[in-house]
Formats: sequence, C-alpha cells, structure tokens
Amino acid sequence: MSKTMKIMMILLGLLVVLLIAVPWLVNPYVLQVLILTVTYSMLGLAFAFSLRVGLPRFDITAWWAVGAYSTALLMLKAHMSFWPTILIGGIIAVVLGWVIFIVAVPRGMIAFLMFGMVVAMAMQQIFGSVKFFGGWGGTGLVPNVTIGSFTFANKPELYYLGLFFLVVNLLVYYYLYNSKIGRAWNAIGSSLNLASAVGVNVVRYRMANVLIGNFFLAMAGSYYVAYSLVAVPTTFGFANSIFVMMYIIVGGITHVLSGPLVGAVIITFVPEYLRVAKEYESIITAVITILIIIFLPMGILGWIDRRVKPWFTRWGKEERKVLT
Amino acid sequence: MGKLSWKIFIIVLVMTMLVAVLPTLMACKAKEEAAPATPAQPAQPAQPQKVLKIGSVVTFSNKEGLELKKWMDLVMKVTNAQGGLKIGNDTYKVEIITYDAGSDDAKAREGLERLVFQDGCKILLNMFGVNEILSAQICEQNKILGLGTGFIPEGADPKFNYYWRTTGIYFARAFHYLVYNDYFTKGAKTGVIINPESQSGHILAEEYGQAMKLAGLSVYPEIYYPSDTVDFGPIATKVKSLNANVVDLAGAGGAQAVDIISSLKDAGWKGYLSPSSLNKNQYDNLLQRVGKEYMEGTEMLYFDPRGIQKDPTMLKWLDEYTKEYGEFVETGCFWISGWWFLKDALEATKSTDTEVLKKYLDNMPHGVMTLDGYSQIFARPDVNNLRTIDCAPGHGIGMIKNGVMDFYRQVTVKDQYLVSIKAYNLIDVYQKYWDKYGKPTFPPEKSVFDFADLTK
Amino acid sequence: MDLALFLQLLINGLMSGGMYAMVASGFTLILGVMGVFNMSQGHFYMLGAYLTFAVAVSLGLPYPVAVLAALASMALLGVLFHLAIIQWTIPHGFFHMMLVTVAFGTIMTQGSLLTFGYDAQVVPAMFPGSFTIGDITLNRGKLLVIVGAIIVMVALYYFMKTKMGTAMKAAAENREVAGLQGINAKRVFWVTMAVGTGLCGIAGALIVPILSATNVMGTNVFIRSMLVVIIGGTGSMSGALLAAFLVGIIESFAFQYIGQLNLLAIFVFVAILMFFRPGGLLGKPLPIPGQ
Repeated sequence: MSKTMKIMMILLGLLVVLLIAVPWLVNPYVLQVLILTVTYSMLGLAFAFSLRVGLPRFDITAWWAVGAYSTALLMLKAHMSFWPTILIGGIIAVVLGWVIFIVAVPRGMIAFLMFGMVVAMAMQQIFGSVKFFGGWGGTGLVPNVTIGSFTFANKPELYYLGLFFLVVNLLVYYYLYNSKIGRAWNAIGSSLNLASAVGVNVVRYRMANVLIGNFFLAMAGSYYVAYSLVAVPTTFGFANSIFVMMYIIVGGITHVLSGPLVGAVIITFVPEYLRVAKEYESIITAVITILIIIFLPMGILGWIDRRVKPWFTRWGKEERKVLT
Repeated sequence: MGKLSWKIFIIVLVMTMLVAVLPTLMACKAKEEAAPATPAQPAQPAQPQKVLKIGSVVTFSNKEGLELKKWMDLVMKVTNAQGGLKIGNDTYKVEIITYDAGSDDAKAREGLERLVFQDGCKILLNMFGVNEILSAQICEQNKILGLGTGFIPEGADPKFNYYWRTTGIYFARAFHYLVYNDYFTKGAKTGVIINPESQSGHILAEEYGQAMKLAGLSVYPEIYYPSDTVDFGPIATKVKSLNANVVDLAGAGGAQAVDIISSLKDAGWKGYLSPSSLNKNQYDNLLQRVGKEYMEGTEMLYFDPRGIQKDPTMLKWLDEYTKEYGEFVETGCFWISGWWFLKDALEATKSTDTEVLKKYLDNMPHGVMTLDGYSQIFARPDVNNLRTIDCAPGHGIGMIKNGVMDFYRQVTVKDQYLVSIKAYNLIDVYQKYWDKYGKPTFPPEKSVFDFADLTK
Repeated sequence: MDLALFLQLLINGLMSGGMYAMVASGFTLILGVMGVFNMSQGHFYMLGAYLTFAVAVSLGLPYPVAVLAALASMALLGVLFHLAIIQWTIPHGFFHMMLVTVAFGTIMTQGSLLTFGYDAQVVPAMFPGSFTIGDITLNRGKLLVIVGAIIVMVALYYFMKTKMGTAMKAAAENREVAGLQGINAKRVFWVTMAVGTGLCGIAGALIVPILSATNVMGTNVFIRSMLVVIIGGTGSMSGALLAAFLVGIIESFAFQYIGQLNLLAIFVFVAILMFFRPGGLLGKPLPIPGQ
C-alpha cells in the first residue's frame, strides 16, 4: 500500500512539474488549446459536481455566460478591476440561479435536465437580443487583467492564471466532498429514497450543490474573459454542455475530480490529430465516442482502475515480498 | 461470452457499413463537390524557392465558404504552376493554408492562432464567417497583416493598425439604393427589412434601411426572426398585415430567403422583393416554388460575374475556375478580393516585409480589379480612422426577366462610396476630410453619382 | 385584431404545432417507455425531409410514395440504431444512452451533409397555391400538413389501444410489473423506437413542401419539442399533443406582437407553468428510471 502510494505520489509530483513546465515545452498554439482545456475542465467539474446528487446540468453555459458578462461589463462600464468582478459575477450567478432553480430543483432529474437546456438557450438569446449586453457581436474589448503592476497579457501568464483557478476549484470541491455536506450528497447520489428516508433534506442539499456549482461556473466565465478579452453570445452555445458531458463520460463518470480533466484533455487533443480527415472528423469523433461508451462504460479512468491499477498493486506486492 | 461476441459482431457490422457507405456516397458526389486540389508542383526544374505563407480561416459550413476555399486553392495552384509569384528579384511559391471557422468564436480563434503560431503565417487573408474583432485583435497582437471581410463597426476601429477590410459592404449602399430607386419609380411607397436575429442581421438592417430612406421609401421597423426559426409563416403574416410594398431580405441566407419568399406568396402578399443574393440552386428552388411571374422584375446581386467582367486577366481566372470546378454556384468569387489587393501590394512594394506592405496598404490611392469588378479601399474619417481600410466593391445587378436572371447594370466604386456617405448622413465629416487630404480618385467608369449630387 | 389576421396566425400556429406534435410525441414515447433521452430525434426529422426529397425529386416518384418511404426508412433506421447501439448502452445508464444519441445525431448530420450537400432542398407541393375566402388566404400545403398531423395522431391513438400499445404503456408505467406480466421488453423497445423515429420521418416528409430541408432544421424542431414535452408532462402523449399546438400558437402570435423574442415568451410560459403545475399541463408525470 505504502509503496503504491509512493509511486502515485511520484507520478503526481511529475504531473505537477510537467503542468508548470508546459509553457517552456510547447508552442503558443498548443498552450492556447491548453487554456481552453482548463476552462472546459472547470465546466466539467461543475457538471460532475452536480451529477453527484443526481442532477445533470445542461445549463452550465448559462452561468458560464453570466460570469463572463458580469466581468466584461463591470470592467468596461464600471471600470472595475478584474478581481472583485469574480466575486460579483459569482454572487449574481448564485442569486439568479436560486430564483430559477426554486422551480426546477424540486421537480426531479428529467425536469431539471430539460429546464436547464431551456435556461441555457434563453440566456444566450437574452445576452444577444438585449441592447445593454452589447448584442450578438458581444461586448467591447476589456483591458488586460492586472495585479499590481503585473499584466496578464501573454499566453503563459494566462495559462498559470487558469491553472490557479482550476486548483482553487479542485481544492474547494475536494474539501466539500470530504465534509459533512459531501457525505449527504453522496447519500443522495447513491439512493434518493434511502437518503430521504434517513432524513436528508434532498431538495435543500441539491439546491446548495447546484448553487455552489453556479459560483464556480461564473468564475470560469470570468477567467474566460480574462483570456479572450470579450464576451460574445455565440461562445456560450448549448452544445458546450454536450461536450462537457462527453468529457465526463469519456474520462470516467465515477471519478468526480479527475474524470472531467482527463476527458477534456482527450477530447480536445484527439481531434487535433484527426485533422487529416476533414469532413469525416466529426463522424470519426462520434464513432470513437460510441465505441468508448459501449466498450469502456466507466471511461478511460475506469479502465485504468480495472486493468492498470491491479498491475501496479501486484508489482508493489511482489516487490514487498522480495524485500521482506 | 456468446452475447459479447454478438455485440461485437453487430457493432463492427454497422460501423463498417457507415465507413463503407459514406465514402461511396462521397465518391458519387465527388464530381460536383470536388475535393480541394493539392497544389501542383511546377513542371520546370526545381530551384530553391522561397515560400510565401498565407493563412485563412473560413467557415466550411456554408457553400460560400467552401467556394471561397476553392478559389484560394485555385489561386495557389495556378500561381505556382506559372512558376510562383514574382516579388522584386525573388520568386515565391504561394502557400495558402485554410482552416474551418467552426460554429463559434473559440473554434475560429483556435484556427487563427494555429496559423500564426504553428504554421508561421505572416499574412492572414479573407477571413470569412469569423468575428472581425477576433481577426483584428490577433493581427494587432502579433503584428501580422490581416486582409479580412466584414462590416461590423468594431472592424474599422482605429486601435487596430494591422487590419483592412478588402472585402466588405460598408461602402456598398449604392447597390441597394439603385435597386430601391427602381422600385420607387415603379410605384413602391413603403418598405420593410426582414433579417435574422444576429449581429450581421442588425447592422445590415440599419444600413440598408438608410439606403431605403434615401431612395424615397418610407421604412417600417425592421422584422427580425430568430436564427432557429422553424416556420416562416408568421413573418409573412406580419408583412401582409403591414402591407409593405418592398420587402428586403438583406441578411437572410439564401435558403431562408427562399422559404420566406414562398411564405410571402402563400400569405397572399405581392410586391417588390430584394433578396440580396441567391445561388444557382436556391434560385432554381425559388422559381420552382413560387413561379416565375411572382419574381418578375426582381433585382439582386448577380452571382456569375462572367456576364459583366471585361478585364481579360480576370476573365482568364474565371475560365480557370470553371475548368477546375465547373459552374459558379455561389458568391464565393466576391470574397476572394483580398488576394488581388495583396498581390497588388506585394508587386508594387517588391517586398514581403510587413511594415512596408502596411505602409502601402494604409495609403492606397487606387483600387484593384477583382473578379466581380473594380474595388477600392477608403479611409473612414467618421470613426477617426484615416488609413485606407474599408472597401467599396463594384457589383453587378441582375434582373429577372421571364424567369431568367440577366445582367442589368453595373454599380461603380464611385457610386458606392458617395451614396453610402449620403445615406449615412456623413457628408460634413467626409467634406472636412476631403478638404484636408483631397478627394479620392476613382477609375474611369461611368457613374450615376458625383460629388455635386451629395448636397442635392 | 381583424378576423383575417387572427385566422392566418392560427393556421400558422396549428401547422407548426402539428409538426411539433409528431416529433415531440415520438420523443416523449421513447423517453417514457425506454428511458432514453433521444437527442437525435430532430435529426431523424431532418433525414426524413431529405429522404422525401431524394425519393420525390431525385427518383421522381409521386409524393405520397415518398412520404411512406420516409416513414418506413426512418422507422427502420431507428430500429437499427436501437439494435446496433442503444441496447448495449441500456445497462450503463441514462447518460451513456443520452450521449450515444448525441453521437449518432452527429453522424446523421454529417452523413446527410456529405450525401445531399450544403444546399437546401425543396419538394414541389402536391396541392400548390392557396384559396381565398373573403380576405382570408389559406394555403393548401399548410392545411395538408395540419390534416396529415391529425391523421397521424389519430392513428397513433388507435395504435396505443392495440396489444402492443398497451404493452408499451405498461412498460412505461412500471417496468418490473410489465416484465412480470410476461411482456417481452425487447420487442416493446424496438417497436417503440420504430414508432418514435417513424413519427419524425413522417413529420419531415410532410413539412418539406413548405419548408426547405436544411441541416439545422432538426435541431430547431428538437428545441421546440423539448419545450412541448416539458409543458405536456414527461411521457404523456395527450399532453404532448395539447402542448404542441399550444407552443405553435404562442410562437405564431408572439412573433406578430413581440417579434424575435417569441421563443423567450414560451420560456417564460414554461417557467410559470412549472411553478404551478410541476407535472405538466395534464399532470401525473411518469416515473423515469434514475429519477
């Protein structure tokens, strides 16, 4: 056990070093794809987070957009600095979310799912059609994000900023999962009836989960604006939710924290290598997805759990045997 | 065990079917939708050649974008087959790399940055279906020449120093003015513009509305429809209840324009139509659905420039295209214009240096001949941008007579420029600019409008 | 508001409503009976429209034959889709099934793009033109869609009364009990899939003389049919029928008076309705596996 743990820690350490070293290893284009991956990972985490309580979120793009638009508009019209807008955007997303979810959350999964789709599409239309938000062309360009005299203008800095946000997301989610509230969520996720039988207030816990997710989705939106410097309605299309769901299932639906990250990396970089196929690219991606779903229903990480991990443990055990 | 092998068998069967059937269908279609040709190597003995890398991001999700891509492939192929592009003392092999703009900004940005960072392009050309802010921003950040397409206000912002609109329609009001004016003289009194609910829809509706007013029509508030509209009946009903004489479908895509027009006919509306352009297939569909009497006398953009073009070089290019890809079906040839501007700049400056080219394009005193007519770029003093950045295209107007679209009249650059200024009510601003820097010169073409007509 | 305008708006609304009714009832049937959230429902509709074009124009066969061909081929494709892909994902759960339908939808869109190209396609109307009563103009093609939709819905009603239909209803209400009563779940599933996608095929076939077939038409209708299902109540067929006409009519009237934000009007309607009647218009939502 300790041996496996050590190997895992070493691998983790290597991964962290690799992530930090990335800007020196790749060209700016790959770095840009990585920045997008980081953003999508944040969306994926929020999706997986609420999936834990049995609520699939197809409204993530709505709150992502709310965060992005709050940051962009506050920076442009109120000339605020970037950092407080994260908090304000998050609060707007939580309050607005509470008003909307009061209808949807108590109605169960399917209703929540479809209602989420409707909210996502309505939000996109509102941002496009209402003059105040800048129309379908998006808001104007916002200034670069600064901290003190340091400006986040280039790719590497923005990448680190994204990594910082992602780590904040991961830490908060990790803490929440292992707290009392996290145990209640797990109970709801594994059996709704059982959870309500032992006196867990399902609606309240679900609501808390979804609203926390909203806050971090808005944070992802703020980060997206820090990177793209503009919020355009078409960016926040409903199709993104589908991609995010794909990340989670391809990554491994049971791995709440690492699944979305692995899935995002795979789904983003595999089509990069499929560019030869052009017209067939999307067909090939779809076929691969279908095959993964049928043959690896637990995703890549689930497959690793089943096939690769035993190998490691066996190896660790054997080594231990030799040592003792 | 048995179940699993069955599972694998059926899945493999279906996947093979999919993989086998699609290419077959593709092959049947191949003649029409010919795959982009790979650049042919010049026949002459290989000599170490410099390569001029040009990047482009174009939407592949409509026919215009695909036709534009074919045009760029053709330009690359023919130029290289002739031995390359001669710039000063060097001969350059031209390489145009084109990526798909996808459906949203993230994908387009990915493509643009890939061109800049991965492929090392120093020139971006004819970005079509890409948010202009995005192209301009990336060109500005990386000091790369961008010869783009578009008409949104931000594209002409003076803070962008490396971006030009070598195809665009900001200075293209004469085209619609002349059409509306014809309808006005035929007795039309009121007009309404139907546009999709999108960025371009709103901008176009505003600009076209001003041309409509200038032509003497009274204009109803614009009708916007959501881009995911399923049924166009409600639009037709609304037009019928307004009882407008002229219906302009300025920003509606061709396919939607066909549906809207046939809905208008179904609702019993009769009047003057102005679909800004239709491709061949859409035109045939339209005639099939509403009949030729309904469309008689309609004027619109003439998608096949062979009827108008007299310039021998351009005629040769048009022939090359038909030889390679068959008939014209779309307006792709309008959007390739950036190439002729770039070629002119490269040959005139004898340099591929960004700053030299920039200086030339910033003060371009003359236009260039493009496939569909003479085009020229002008300064935009109304937004304090004194670089020559915004394009006035020369277009041909076609008219439907007895169910056949025929060339009707040519809109010249001078008309486009002057009518646009008058329609936007910017005469004072431009007058000040002309007083200071002199009036632009125009090619010797027969124009309807002159500077004296501005104040009339 | 004068009568002519009112009738025009009503006819427009009824026509869209008829279309939504067919797509949405297929969707709600598949969701209710199989627990599959079929995101490719709209794509079947799109493919149905394109196939009608292929049969009626490219092969030159009469329009009614094309409608039947679209119905049959879409039902067949649905069954194939079920046998080849969906049935293997049923044990994996709700999201796996949903994602598989998304992927299949992508394949259908791209496949039709490669086969039929980017052009919008139209089929000549069987009864062209309109007739006028006073100052009211009624289009024959639109009336045909409305009549066709009603016939299809009536046929569906009688189908649900047959033995297979009852079995489907039983399976929708309680899977375990249905299994105990000796209902062959496998057969029920593929028949459900055939009916659900066949409905889309016939909807696409009926609409294509009025509206050009394009690659995005499916997505647009799918959004509406989802709204219909929310309003009508998940799994409820009569609710779907009622809600479809309601959505069509609201959309039509809202466009006349508030313009492009008409879809937003339906969203607001949905939110208010969900607050007061969580089970949809006709109440009593069906239990969905994984709820």
